[in-house]
Amino acid sequence: MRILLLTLTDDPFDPAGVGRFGGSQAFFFDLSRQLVRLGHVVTIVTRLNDRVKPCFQSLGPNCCVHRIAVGPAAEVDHHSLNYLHEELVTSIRALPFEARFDILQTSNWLSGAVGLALMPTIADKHVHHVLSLGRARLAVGEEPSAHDEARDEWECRIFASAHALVCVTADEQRTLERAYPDVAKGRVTIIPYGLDPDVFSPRPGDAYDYLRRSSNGFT
Amino acid sequence: MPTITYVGRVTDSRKGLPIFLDALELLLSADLPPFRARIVGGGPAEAIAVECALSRTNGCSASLRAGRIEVWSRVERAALPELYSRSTVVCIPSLREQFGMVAVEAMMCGTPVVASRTGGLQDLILHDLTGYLVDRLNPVALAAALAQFVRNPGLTVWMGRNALLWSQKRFDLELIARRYVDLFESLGRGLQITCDKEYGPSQLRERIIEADRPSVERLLGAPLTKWQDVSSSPTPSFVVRTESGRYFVKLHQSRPPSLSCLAGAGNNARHMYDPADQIKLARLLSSASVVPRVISSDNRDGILIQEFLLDDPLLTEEQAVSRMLQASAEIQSLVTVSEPAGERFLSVLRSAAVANKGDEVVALVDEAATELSSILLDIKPPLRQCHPQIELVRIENYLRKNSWAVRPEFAARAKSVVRFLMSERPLVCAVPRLQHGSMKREHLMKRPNRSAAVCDLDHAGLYVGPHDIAHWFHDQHLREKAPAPFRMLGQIHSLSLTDDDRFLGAVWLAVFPIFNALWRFARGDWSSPEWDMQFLTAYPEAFRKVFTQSRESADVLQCPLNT
Repeated sequence: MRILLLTLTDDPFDPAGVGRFGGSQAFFFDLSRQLVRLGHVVTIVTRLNDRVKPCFQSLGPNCCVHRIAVGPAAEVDHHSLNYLHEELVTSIRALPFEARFDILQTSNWLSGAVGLALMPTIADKHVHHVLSLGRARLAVGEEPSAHDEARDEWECRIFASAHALVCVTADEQRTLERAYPDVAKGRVTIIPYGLDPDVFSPRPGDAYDYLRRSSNGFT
Repeated sequence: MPTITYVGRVTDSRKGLPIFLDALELLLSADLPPFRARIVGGGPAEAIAVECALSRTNGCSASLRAGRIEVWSRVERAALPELYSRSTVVCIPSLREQFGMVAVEAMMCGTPVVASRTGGLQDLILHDLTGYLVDRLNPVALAAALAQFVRNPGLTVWMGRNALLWSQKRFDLELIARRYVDLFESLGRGLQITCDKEYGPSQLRERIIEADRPSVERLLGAPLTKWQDVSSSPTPSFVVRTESGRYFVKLHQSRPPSLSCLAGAGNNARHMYDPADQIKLARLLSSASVVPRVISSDNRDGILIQEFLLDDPLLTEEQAVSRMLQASAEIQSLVTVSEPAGERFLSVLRSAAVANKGDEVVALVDEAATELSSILLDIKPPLRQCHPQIELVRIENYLRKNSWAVRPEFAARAKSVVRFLMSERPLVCAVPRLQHGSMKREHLMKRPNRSAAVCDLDHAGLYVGPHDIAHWFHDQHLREKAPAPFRMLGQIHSLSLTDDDRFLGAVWLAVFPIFNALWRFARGDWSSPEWDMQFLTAYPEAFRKVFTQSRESADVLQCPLNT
């Protein structure tokens, strides 16, 4: 399968734990890696958020990343990027993709909004990863912003059009269905984020560590 | 040294670092063994900002200088497992969390998590099994739950093992990627999208029995064809089926008893349930006709296989009470407290009656109760509620030292009831009796041949006073809309045979709700204990009425069960 992963607000190669980057873009990096391992062709498109990063990187025969130079080449409040919508769509259309994709996967409302404009010419099916919900954010008392209205409009359109909506937990699914009652329940699924158990597994405890260090001449 | 670790972006207010720092300050001023805190995340400048925030508080600044609070800034992702594995508990105080990747990372490294009850964290963490979910934006609740891990290293071992079992397959990246591929393929073929079923404690228990399945099959001498999770406590329990019949299987684990939440500093690691002891006790009790027969067991793996019992839902209230009393009496008859052992226990109680320090009193009686169990039952139970008046002392000690960890209005009410009961009578010096320990309606069962049986003997042990009767009515009344202490006390009064028993039963009845509420607070559940508050408020008056009436009539108070 040929999969286009559109993640315009988070570069999967940015290190988690700094600034606003957390676990989700680390997961999209890992997911791409696994999909390639399973024999699929993955193309990642993100926004160039740092001038020193390359605009194109080939990561082997089945994986590449495009960083489109739209807006400032810096990390900015991604909710404010809606004004770049047309420019983002045009830039992605201009990318030299080898063929049409089977799946367009978008994450976050901005990527979803751009994805909507690219469908159906770019891919057969659109899968949208919910990745935070505007109405839920306001419901828990977070500060309203000038972009809430546009976000809400886009979210409603994405939820009505995408072929599948992926939530990462049952709580997110419940929140989605409560806050956006028009969402077709049959199109919602839950797939949690995953981790590589070869990396995330228990390490030897302190006693063993002491012996290991001693045997290697460390104190 | 116990280590509490925070991993996350430090300048993102949604991650709740300020709540963690408030909790840390509380913990540093509490009666706890020494511990270390580690804050991981953010760039170097952000880490300096965190250090500055810490140095502005008295408790934290001294610990920062002493190296007991470490601020690490961001570490490579590949190094995180080393940090998680060296942590006693990982803390996620988020205000809002779509998923909570740190929780999964920690659990996959076998480390339990204390997190806010918010967003996706509620689906990732199994409260009481792989960590604790605490009220959002509540540093006191967060500190109370973290304190459990500092006090009980055994909690980390037990919950960490659960966390690993629960997370390993569920969040395996390769399996998750395959689910994406399945989704993409379903869409390509125009098929209906399937939705993940909700995951919860039963999936963890499924993993536990899967791991123990070969041993269970070896003990039964036959392969399992089916099993059903029937757990109603932290101990995984199943009804299993083989070609030859149905059996009840209990998988005992080494874990701290719930009472350990009230233990003070230094009163920790040795207090763990020993699966071998649990099995030994089940075997000993099975000589009572009302207790399920043990089919087979494995002390090392903690596997207990008992005969299969059926629910008995058709008993009337009066029949159920009579069945409960018979069962309790039969269990009591299994053990007679012999002269020297009983005398030694009584002499400890007499010393406790004149001792000044509450801590010493509790430790003395706990030790004597363990010694008596060792002599009579050949088991060494961990921290155990044995004498209700000693439990009052334990509660008073806890409230004195840990008032920060209890809702103030509840602490005030509980203290008042404890003081009231302590002033009512001096310590009753009586030997304990072997009792069921968790007598309630659901535990009354029947065999296929209709003979009566009582299940779930995990709390069986030596108790002073009519523990079973008091527990029964406490449990019965928990289901009612409003607490009725007068009726509850009246019923205990009418069923107890001696004046001491009537008083001790009444004390047990007060101890249960206080202990349950303290246990909830200690696990970060800060919701208002409305029922308990109402009960405790009405308790002294009800107590006086019941005992005055009985004295006046010189008879046992007649209080019909169904009034």
